[in-house]
Amino acid sequence: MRQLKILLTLFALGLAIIPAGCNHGPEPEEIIVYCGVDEPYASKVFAEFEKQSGIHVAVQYDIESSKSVGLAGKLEAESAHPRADVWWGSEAFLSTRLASENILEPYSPTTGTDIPPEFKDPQGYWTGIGLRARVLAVSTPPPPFPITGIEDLADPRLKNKICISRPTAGATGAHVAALYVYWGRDKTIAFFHKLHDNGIAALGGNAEVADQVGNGVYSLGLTDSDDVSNSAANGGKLSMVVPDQSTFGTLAMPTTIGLVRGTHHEQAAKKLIDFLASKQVEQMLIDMKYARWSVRGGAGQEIKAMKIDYREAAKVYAQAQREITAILDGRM
Amino acid sequence: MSFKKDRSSILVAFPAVFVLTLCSVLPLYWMCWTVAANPQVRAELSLSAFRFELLGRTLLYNGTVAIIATAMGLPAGYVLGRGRGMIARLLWVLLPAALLLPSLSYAYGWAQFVRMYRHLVLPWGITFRPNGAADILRCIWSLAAWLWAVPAGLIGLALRRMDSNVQQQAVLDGALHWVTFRQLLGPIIASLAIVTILATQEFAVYEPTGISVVATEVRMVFDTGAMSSPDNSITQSGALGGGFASSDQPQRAAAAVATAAPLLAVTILLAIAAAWGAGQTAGSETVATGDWPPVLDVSKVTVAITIALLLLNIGVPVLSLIRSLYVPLSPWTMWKEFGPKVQGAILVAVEASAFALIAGFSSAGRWIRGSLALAGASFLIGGQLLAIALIRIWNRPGLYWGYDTSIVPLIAYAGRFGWLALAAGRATWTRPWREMRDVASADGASTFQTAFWVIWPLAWPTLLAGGLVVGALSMTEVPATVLLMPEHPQVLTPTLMTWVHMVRYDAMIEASLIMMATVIVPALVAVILTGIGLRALKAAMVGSPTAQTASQRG
Repeated sequence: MRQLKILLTLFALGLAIIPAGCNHGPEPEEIIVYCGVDEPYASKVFAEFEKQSGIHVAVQYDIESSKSVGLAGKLEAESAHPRADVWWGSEAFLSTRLASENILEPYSPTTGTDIPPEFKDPQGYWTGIGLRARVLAVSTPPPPFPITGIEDLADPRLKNKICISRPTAGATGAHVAALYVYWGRDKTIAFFHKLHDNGIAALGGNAEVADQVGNGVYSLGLTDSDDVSNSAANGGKLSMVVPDQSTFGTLAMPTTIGLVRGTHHEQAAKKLIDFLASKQVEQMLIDMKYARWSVRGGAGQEIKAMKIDYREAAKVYAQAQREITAILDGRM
Repeated sequence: MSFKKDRSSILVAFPAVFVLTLCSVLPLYWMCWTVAANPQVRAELSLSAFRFELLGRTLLYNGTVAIIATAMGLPAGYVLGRGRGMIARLLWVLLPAALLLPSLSYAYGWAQFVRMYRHLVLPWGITFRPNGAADILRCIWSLAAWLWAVPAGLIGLALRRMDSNVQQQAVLDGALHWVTFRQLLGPIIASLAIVTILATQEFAVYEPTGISVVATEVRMVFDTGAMSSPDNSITQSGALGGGFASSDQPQRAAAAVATAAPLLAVTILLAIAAAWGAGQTAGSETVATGDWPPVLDVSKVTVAITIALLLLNIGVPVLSLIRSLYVPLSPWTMWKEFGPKVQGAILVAVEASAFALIAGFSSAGRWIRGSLALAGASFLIGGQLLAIALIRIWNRPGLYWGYDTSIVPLIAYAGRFGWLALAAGRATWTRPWREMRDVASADGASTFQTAFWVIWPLAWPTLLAGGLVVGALSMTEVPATVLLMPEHPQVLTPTLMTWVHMVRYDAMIEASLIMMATVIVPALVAVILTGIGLRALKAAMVGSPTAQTASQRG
């Protein structure tokens, strides 16, 4: 029996070690952020916040292929017991949806009073800062004719030399939804049929689009401004054209910050939101070339942005994604 | 002693049963239940043209991986099986190195190699266009070079267990190669099957450039509710805000399981083939440690080929990572930046290792029939499905204490690799060990007494090695970790996955190198412990009266 007791004691000790090791519960001054903004940029912002506030920020970033959709799905699945305290999305459509599902809680950051209303949720569910835009990545040397708008992608001279990210997730999905609202469904569908006929390649993500254009595999790609900057910084041979500046403009996307409903660290989370919505952080994003323009400067002053109602676009998001993916795959 | 009287038998078995139930049986049960409870996802089970194409593509790519890996593993296996001296010993240590690296870091190394030298093949019109032929071949090669240690190990062990008299006779008959090949056919088939299974579970190598295989689709379906490929009913239902709304995690989880189901059926067939193939090798239950005639020694040419392969498969990707760095290589700076997440990974790995170790010791004391098969099944379903099952089991009121901590990751790792600890325990039920147990039992020792005084004192190095391997693999496990995204503590792998899409990124390279360096330590210790275990067993078999002392002490 003595040995049995020894065995039981050993087993109990073994089991005790595990929960003891597992009990890495959040420190009082630690907040968790689900972050759709790319890690190379966001991490520097969080480091600055940690330095200023002494509050530790634990961050979960998204993965390029499923983008913020994966993180938003995680937020939704955890809504009964949220792990995250703050949501920092890379665009406004998902945040609009999260707000409509009561995943976010209204909070207007004290530092965001100078942000124009078009970049804030009317009920204060999210606040936008740092504009990125959908742009054309142009290879070096460029095509032998001027590139001015997204309709150049349908030019037969670029047949099989053009690419786009698959619109199942991320900014490309938002872009096609915006086109559905701005152009209407029929015109958008006809445009993407033209792109398919012109041999457009649907790649795994926007970073991939920029990198492939930068490597000379494709001549022209529709992607995000930060991905072009990043590819160029890593030696990619490409330039950026902000499309349709003489016509209807391009999709400008603010990053969006929201407070997660049921957060366990409300004060610290609000402190972070105040920090993220500040001019200082927006300037950091611009300096790091993640964002190109400030929401405070007014997008129209430096970039002609499409006038889009986010709620309308969010409504057609699923349909637009599904149909345009089908067209790019040659199924529709 | 009858089982009824020997209550210690139940107590010795309990830890293994507990670990097995928690880590393997529950997730497997959830998978079956979720498909049964969600009739709408059963459409995924039927092989439409699209699903057939997806499955075919997956098997074609990963079958090619298996062929290349096995071809590379043959010479290395021969060195392991019929090599002597320092080179053979070193190979046992170095060969698993690539396998223990995170697959996505390893593939990133090869991607850097391609990025640096792609201009050399451009004149032949070879471009590494995403999802193009060259890009797919790059992925296939990366996986094959990562997994080649598996066939090498299997073939090496088969050779060590082979009856050397048969081979010696074959030398006299001038038919050594033919006879050896015939005897190795089983392990070769097992290698092909096992490598195919392992490769099909990996998505991180294929995903960055948009290559669609079952593993990439399972993750996409679970994460977004939509496939990244055409002709999928989930996509038809709407990816976002409609149909299978993203918020509906149970539906997405069920759809992900159903998406993987056809491949799982193939996996079962492959596992049967692997078991059959491995069974063909059993010439003897013991592993030879050099007692074959010198005429059977491996040739110098084979050794040279193996060294070249080793340099190619480990040296090239690691050096490519180092050469791709723009910033100077500084281990201290790297540790300062990535240390906390590496420590997190180590901590969870240690916990998983301890959990598996408990099961290993328990199974060495009392073997539960079918336990290895169950643990194997939770390995075969792959890290992604295991993670999905655990998220669904633990993300519910009353269980958040587990969901929010490293309990779920450690269960996932023990479920995924626990079979290795059990296999280490199973190794103590082979003939030499059985004889010792019989002696102890005849002297009246209980199950516990036999385990405590006879088996564990001799088997601890092997059992500990099994636990350490579980820990090492846990540190570098990609599929389960990326889905679980452990929060407390955070680990490095999900961050690596966010970076892997960047064509060249210093942080990705540095973090990969630091993970590689970290995982080598437990791997080396495991190999050394296995050697100690084998030597201890050999010493014990030379007439040691250990078994008799057990009953006296007990």
